[in-house]
Amino acid sequence: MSSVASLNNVWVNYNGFTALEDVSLSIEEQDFVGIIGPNGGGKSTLLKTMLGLIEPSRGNVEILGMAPRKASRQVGYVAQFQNFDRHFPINVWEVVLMGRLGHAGLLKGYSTQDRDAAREALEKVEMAGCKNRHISQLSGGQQQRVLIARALATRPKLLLLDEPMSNVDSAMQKGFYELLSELNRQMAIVMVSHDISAVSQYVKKVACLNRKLYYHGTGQLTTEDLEATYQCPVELIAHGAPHRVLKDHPR
Amino acid sequence: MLDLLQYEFIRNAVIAGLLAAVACGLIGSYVVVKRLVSVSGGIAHASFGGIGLGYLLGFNPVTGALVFSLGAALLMGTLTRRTRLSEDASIGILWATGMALGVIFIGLAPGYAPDLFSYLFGSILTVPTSDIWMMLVLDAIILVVVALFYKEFSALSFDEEFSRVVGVPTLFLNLVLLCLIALTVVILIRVVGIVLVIALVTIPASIAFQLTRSLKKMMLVSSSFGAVFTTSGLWLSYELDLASGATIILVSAFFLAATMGWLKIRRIRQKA
Repeated sequence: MSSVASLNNVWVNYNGFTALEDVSLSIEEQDFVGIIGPNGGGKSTLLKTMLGLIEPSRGNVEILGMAPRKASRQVGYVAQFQNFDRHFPINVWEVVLMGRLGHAGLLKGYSTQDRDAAREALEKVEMAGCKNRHISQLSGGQQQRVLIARALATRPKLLLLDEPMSNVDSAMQKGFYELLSELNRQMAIVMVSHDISAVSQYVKKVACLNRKLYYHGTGQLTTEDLEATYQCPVELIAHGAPHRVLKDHPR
Repeated sequence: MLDLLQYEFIRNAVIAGLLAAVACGLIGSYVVVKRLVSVSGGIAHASFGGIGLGYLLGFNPVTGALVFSLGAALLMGTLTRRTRLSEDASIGILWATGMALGVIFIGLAPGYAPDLFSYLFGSILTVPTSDIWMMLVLDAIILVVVALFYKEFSALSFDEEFSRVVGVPTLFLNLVLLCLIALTVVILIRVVGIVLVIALVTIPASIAFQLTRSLKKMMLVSSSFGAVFTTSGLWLSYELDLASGATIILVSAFFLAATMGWLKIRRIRQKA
């Protein structure tokens, strides 16, 4: 197995504030890593550092064997908030095609290959039927599917998701996680979330982040990790199948 | 109205209005969806420094406005990135500094500045043929650049962070877009004047924004509305002997209110 992403002793400082402290992380092919931690713990910063949107102050980041800025057009990214105007004059198809901008290049139109990749991505998230709809005509969950399709249109080897369930109502979340498990056969996924219980059922490995990263490369969390992350006693609730994420522990 | 077209100054005025409408439709649409209204206002007012310099040194004030508005656009694009100034603050600073320079330059210029008022509030009936040619060239530049970078400009306006991630040169293209706003300002100065520029950039595009769901249609619809507003405003100002720039803006504002009212009534009817 080759490494899809590796971070070695990465520090990120902004205006004298340390957002990430000595973070090391290695993501392999087929990995599905959940990163949990409190708000302001640096989860989004970590993803943005992996995308090259934020330069680390120290340490080294390599994505697909390249500098993050170079690799980022082969990385799928779904940001935390849908920080765009719902009434923006754009339809589903145009949004998904955005994923191909880096491949199409400047001063050229989208090629047949670009259109094929966008169509394929829409089919994967089961939104091909909504191709010509305006974005305001979609539910929150459908919008999220379109944004995942846009990320998939890059034909990524690594998919980075920042709180992907925040706009998806709980009844739809199961279907979403199943979609992600399906996608995980073809690409490594890193998902940031504050929802520990949901993460633990579907991901293969869990890391805790609160400035420092607590990660053992397994799906198991320890009480010590969680307490260090949240800096308060955390009560663990063990889930049953499909994964047992938490060790047996005294109740 | 057609018999009026035999006069050259009326013909020039109509052509100037139509050329202005093209720029308003294309760039106004980006200004509205990308929320660049205050930036545009800042660029427009900063260009007054160039008008003043034209008076002082004796060249065409519109050329001065072109240089100053492009300079202001580039400064606004870089100040926020290179310093700790907020975008808001840099707009305000350049807006007022440009105006102040204009006032000083005009004060230093010998004699009285006769058509100063027309640069501030527009004077579509006095557009010389040479300025019509300049407006045509600027429109052509805007059209070509928008056609070349259409997909990037759209993506940038919709979601800048994602565009950057997939490798769009967002810094460069943001500057290009600001320069296109500067060109639009120069086209509009003759028609409605520095003070009223933002209205013609925003109103047709805001009407189109509510009526369309694709950016291309929005550009087309706002250009058409722009053409209707400049010609009908021109005619009305001629008939009623009112200031042309202000009449064009008031006609536009009236249509905007009417569109919003009509949409509201339609929505209520649909619910009932």
